[in-house]
Amino acid sequence: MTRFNLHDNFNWKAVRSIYQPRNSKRKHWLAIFLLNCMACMFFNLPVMAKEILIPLQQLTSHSALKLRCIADEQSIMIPISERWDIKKVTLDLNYISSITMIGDHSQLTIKINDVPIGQTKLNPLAPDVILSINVPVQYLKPGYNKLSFAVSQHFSMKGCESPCAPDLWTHINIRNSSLQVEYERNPVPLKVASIAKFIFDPKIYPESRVNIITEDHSPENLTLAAIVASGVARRFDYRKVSFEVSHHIKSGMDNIVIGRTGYMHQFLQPYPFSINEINGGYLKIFPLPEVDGIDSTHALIVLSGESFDHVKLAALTFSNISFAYPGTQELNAFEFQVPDLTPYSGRDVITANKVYDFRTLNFPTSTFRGMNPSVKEVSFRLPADMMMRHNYAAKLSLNFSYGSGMRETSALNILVNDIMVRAISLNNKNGDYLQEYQLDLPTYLFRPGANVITFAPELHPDLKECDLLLSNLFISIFENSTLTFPDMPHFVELPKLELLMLNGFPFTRWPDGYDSLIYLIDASNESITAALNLVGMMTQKNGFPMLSIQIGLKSPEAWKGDLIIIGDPSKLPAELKESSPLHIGSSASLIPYPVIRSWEKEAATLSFSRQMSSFGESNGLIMQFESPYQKGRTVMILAAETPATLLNLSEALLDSEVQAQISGDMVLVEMAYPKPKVTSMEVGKKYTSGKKGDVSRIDSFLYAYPYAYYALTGLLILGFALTAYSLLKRFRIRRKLTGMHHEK
Amino acid sequence: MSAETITQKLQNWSLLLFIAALLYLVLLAQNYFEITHQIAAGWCSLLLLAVLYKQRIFQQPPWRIVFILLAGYLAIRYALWRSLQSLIYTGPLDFIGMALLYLAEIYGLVLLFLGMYVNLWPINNRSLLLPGHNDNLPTVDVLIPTYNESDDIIRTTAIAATQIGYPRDKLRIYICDDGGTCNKRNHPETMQEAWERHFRLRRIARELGIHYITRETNRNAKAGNLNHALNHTDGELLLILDCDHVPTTDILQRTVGHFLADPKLFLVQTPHFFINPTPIEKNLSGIGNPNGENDMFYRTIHPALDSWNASYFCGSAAVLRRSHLMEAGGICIGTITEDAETAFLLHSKGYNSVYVDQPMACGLSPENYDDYVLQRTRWAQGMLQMFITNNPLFAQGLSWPQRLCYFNSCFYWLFGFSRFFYFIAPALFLIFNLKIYHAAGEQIVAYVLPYILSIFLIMHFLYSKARQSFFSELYESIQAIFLIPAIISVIINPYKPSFKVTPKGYKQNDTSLNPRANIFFIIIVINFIALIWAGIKWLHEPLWREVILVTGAWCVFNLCLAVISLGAYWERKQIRHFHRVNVSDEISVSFPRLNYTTKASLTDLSLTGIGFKVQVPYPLAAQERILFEASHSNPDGTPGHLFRFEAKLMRFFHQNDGYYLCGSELILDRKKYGEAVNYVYGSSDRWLKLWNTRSASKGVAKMLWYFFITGLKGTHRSALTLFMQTRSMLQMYLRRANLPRKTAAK
Repeated sequence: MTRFNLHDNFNWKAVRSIYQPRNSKRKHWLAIFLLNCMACMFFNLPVMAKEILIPLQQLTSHSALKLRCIADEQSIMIPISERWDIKKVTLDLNYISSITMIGDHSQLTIKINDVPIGQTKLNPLAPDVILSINVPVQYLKPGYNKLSFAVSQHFSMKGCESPCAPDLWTHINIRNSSLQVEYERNPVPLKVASIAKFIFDPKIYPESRVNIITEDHSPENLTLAAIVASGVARRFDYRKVSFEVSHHIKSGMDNIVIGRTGYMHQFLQPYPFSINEINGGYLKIFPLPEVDGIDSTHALIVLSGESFDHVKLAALTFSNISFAYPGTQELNAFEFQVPDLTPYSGRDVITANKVYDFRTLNFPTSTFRGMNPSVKEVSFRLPADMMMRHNYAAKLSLNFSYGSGMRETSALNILVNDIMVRAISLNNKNGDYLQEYQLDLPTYLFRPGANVITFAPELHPDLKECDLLLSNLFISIFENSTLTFPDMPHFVELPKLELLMLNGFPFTRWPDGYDSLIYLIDASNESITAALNLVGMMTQKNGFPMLSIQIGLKSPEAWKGDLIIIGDPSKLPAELKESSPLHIGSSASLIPYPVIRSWEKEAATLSFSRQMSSFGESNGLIMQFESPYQKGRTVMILAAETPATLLNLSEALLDSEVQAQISGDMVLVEMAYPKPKVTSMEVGKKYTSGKKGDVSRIDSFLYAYPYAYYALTGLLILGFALTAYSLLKRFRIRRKLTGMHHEK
Repeated sequence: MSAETITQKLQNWSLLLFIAALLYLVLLAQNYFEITHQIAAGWCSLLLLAVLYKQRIFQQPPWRIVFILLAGYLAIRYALWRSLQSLIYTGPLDFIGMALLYLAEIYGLVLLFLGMYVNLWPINNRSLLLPGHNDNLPTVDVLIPTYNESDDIIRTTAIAATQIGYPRDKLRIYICDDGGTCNKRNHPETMQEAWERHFRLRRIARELGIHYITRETNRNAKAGNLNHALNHTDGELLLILDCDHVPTTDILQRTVGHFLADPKLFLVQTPHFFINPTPIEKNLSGIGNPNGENDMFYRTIHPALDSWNASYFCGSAAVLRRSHLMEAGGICIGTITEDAETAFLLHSKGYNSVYVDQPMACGLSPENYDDYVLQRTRWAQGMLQMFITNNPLFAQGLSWPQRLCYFNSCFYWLFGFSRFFYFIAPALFLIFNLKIYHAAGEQIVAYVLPYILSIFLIMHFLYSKARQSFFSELYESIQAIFLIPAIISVIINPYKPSFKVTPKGYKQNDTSLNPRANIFFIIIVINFIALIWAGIKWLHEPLWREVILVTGAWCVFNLCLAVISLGAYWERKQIRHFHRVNVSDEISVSFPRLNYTTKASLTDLSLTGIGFKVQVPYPLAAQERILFEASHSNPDGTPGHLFRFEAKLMRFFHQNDGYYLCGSELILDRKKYGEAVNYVYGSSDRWLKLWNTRSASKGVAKMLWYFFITGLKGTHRSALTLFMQTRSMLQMYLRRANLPRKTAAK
């Protein structure tokens, strides 16, 4: 492993000469190289191995793993990045087991990728146990590794034993369990394909940082930076990634430099790197040069081109490389075709009226075995502004088989969002194979955003518990089972910051961010970084790179789409100040204070204070309200008094705990230790947004004031009746003239 | 362009704007409002409707229009929700069921809207009396077409026609006989009866001083008969009377004036008033007094049609202007409802019509269900023929209101399909699991229930004086299924149906279940099974309980309706030959044996006898001779002719209050028979009074309960009969198959 970066007296020109070998200097360089190696071996190697602690709590959504019945197994997935060369892994495990079990016959087995790595008796006399296990690193592979806990539990050895007695339990306490991982970083392969999986890898724990360098802070370059940040964030999937913006390379992280050819030559000039002739968009990957050497474990990625269009082509190409091609260090891009996009598409979002098989929904053919099989889920998302029609039904078509010899009480339970909707009786003692078992799931069970359909079988043996033969207890749900969701209208009442945290709505209505603009009040590094962090977060939420997002520095009054504003709120355009929930004035602001928290959907009772004040250096503010420039469109403001707080605010937004607390239309984030404190409020005016975002003023008004709606309906009926009466009267008078003189 | 025209055009456009704005508001609410808002909107509107319903002011325009529009608003909400949100494709079979149910509902909605439109502002009290002396009165020909009716019926009508108050020199009466045509008289099978009839009717005509007309053939049935008569008469006006429609003496005095007032008038139609009960009324005799089925048509619909100048000829009890009629080539022969078609043609030529809502011709309605269904089948086929061949919606010359009115009158007769589908629809979901109605519980509460309840309110609002609640459903149910084949045959070949005369004067000799009722037995079984399935589904499919609840309730409604229909099909025995009419009047009664004269209250009367209530201080004797004196007032209110009759006291009952309730038989010679006809049938005021008495009839629940209990008993009996028949058929089959007795027993 090379460790140039740790050498103190490093000469850049010398390093460059390695890449441009000359016979006269080769020996000299070899000597330096050997010296470096020796220095690393003797002094640096022990300190280079990094050690991190991964709490198991962060690897699963469950708070505890419950192991029940006489035999059970639960598992969690351990991410191991390809960038890591694992040296040592230790599992610190805390579990609590039942005190009524027979210690000699009850045991816990720990497995990695189904290979047992340790086992212990479940001693009833010592039920709360902390265990430390060395995990053999040879069983770990890059990717997701299954860490399993299997138990065999007994409470009686005499006569029959109830296989699922309540006494038979062991809880793995995930809160107090962790993995200690010692690793070294692997060098970055110098091929473009490593962008796809290697460099930006969601398995890198706990978070990543990426530095983006742009030619200047013009809107064009910032927009390119946003596209690149979005591409990076998408590859990190759900893993936290924060961005930095600078004019120079930052060590200890991957760097991406964006600029036209001239700038790029100038930028790379101090370093021992060169770029070939650039045609169209240009993309090349280098090891990261540092002041004192080269860090081959991090990358410097160059995105360039002759013109802005070419650089954008390179940025788009960069953001979309998703598998191991090409294997070269550089590429020239000439064209990039964005796929046909439909609104509301994104990560795990299902399209209406399309038949999805379970394989597509990440549910491969699954077999549930034994008496207490763990549940399995189909997860998918619905658009955030979907207006659920209650009389529709989603169609679930199941193909499944189950074993023979099960008791007739066996059933396949189906839950939608934890609501039990159906138990399919598995009552054929000869077993069965059922195709296209149709279930209509009423749509009122679903909700906009994330939804889960859970399969929880209950399999009961037909024999007495003493004669247990469990291998026939199984049910397989096949991946060719399908789910179809009906179409629904899109209409939502805003502002709702929780929708931003759900999937970036409304800025991801078009998944590529089309129709969305980020307006930076100032072009400071902190503001830009905050913008990139926000773009990254929205991308990760929606799962699609925001290739059409724009960053602007001019007043956005002509912008008819959705708007994000980042910066100091005192510098906002007047109309935005007035429209915001704070009613920020030039001299004083009108601050709403909720007096009484009322029912869930009822607006809070507000008092207002006109005051001259500010929200302090350590507080950040997020506000969402209707755009004064376009009905039905949204403005969101990320504001802080100082650039540093603004940056902190943007990073706080990347924290899942902070995200979970954000809702309403005004959120105050206090930068406290160890976690920011979040206060969410609903204080502003409501407005509505439809499929295309715009909702007519009349619609919006009548929606907001239903009494006006009913009054108008009544007036229309009255007006209609009186006009009809007048017409009829005239008609009858005319008829009298032609022969109806005698009506009494 | 005058200011008035501009104002009217503006108002026309504003009406369209109002409609568009209302539709927009309803759509807006459906698209955006939460379901709680919709529930509030639906139920508040319904509550308002119920409150306004009780306010008398809302019976009259303009508030009447407000009420109707409010009900229309609820219907529009439902129609838009149903059309835009509840039609979901879930499979081909589901789709077929869903589409059929949707069509049935849309049919009902169209009829509802048309009904509301037509009834916006009906015209009542259109009677116009002739001035006392007028030498310029038009000549009137009274045409009495007949085919196979008895002499008694024809004679009564002819006598009443001779008593019509109109200058004798301007009134000519014709019996137009289609039962004694040359063809019939020459045909070996019919010649004897035809000749005899020919001579009898000629004799009657000669005795009464009227004319007898017959023709060569029976071509084009009644229309042909009348057209033949038109060619042999020349009166300026024509009074057409079915031979069982006995006119009152003032029929021309109350109608001819309209022709003098409006030269473009071609028709004055009067109600058909039936002295005898329809089968349903007959079955409820002693239980309640429901409105006759035709009450709704003549009491509310026809005045409403008249308000749009769309009152049409109903075949009898109408006066027509010959000159206009001849412009149309006489009575139309294109359909088997020649009357409506003729009016349609003359309306489209720009002529006017008037409806006088005072009964002035007393007729006979069908006596049993077979005749009843036969008559309705003819009407349904005829109106549908007109619908297909003339298409009122796009007919040239008609105003838009007239088009809608004619469309409504024709379109109504398709109700058989929708009613039939409503009977089986819940079973399609509950038994066959077809998803034909997609509604969540909240939506049912928000849209469906307010709509259904508003229908009952608006129907009661529009038709309460002519139709009791739920009786429309009953009337439709008992006809619906039998009309379907007839309607289909017209749709396949609109020119195929032929005119079938409705038999009149039939007598029901025993109480029995009409065989037509068997179909309701099947409907009961289907809905009963569906109800059982509803229970099973309720347990096994908790997610669909809302839909199961609705369809289950629907099944219960269908079951009740089918059982009630079954009960209505039990035909009661008829005792009297001439139908007695319950009336209240004062008469003078003399008892010669007792030399005692006193005032008595008339309770019922017919051509053969009179019932009365009298206080006599002496004991009465059966078969004793009595004398009556009675009168009815003239159209202008002055006392009319005094009638004196001799009668025989047949039976009497002494009541606790000291009164005798007596039944007597009139002793009539030929001259007195004419007077009796005049006394019994001559007064339109009596019929009007009787008509209004019926309209106030109550006791709906009691009547429906009676039918329900009868139906239940009928179901029980039918089930037993079916079981017995099945068993005997099985035994017969086993016997024929020569199986050993033991096996057969098994």
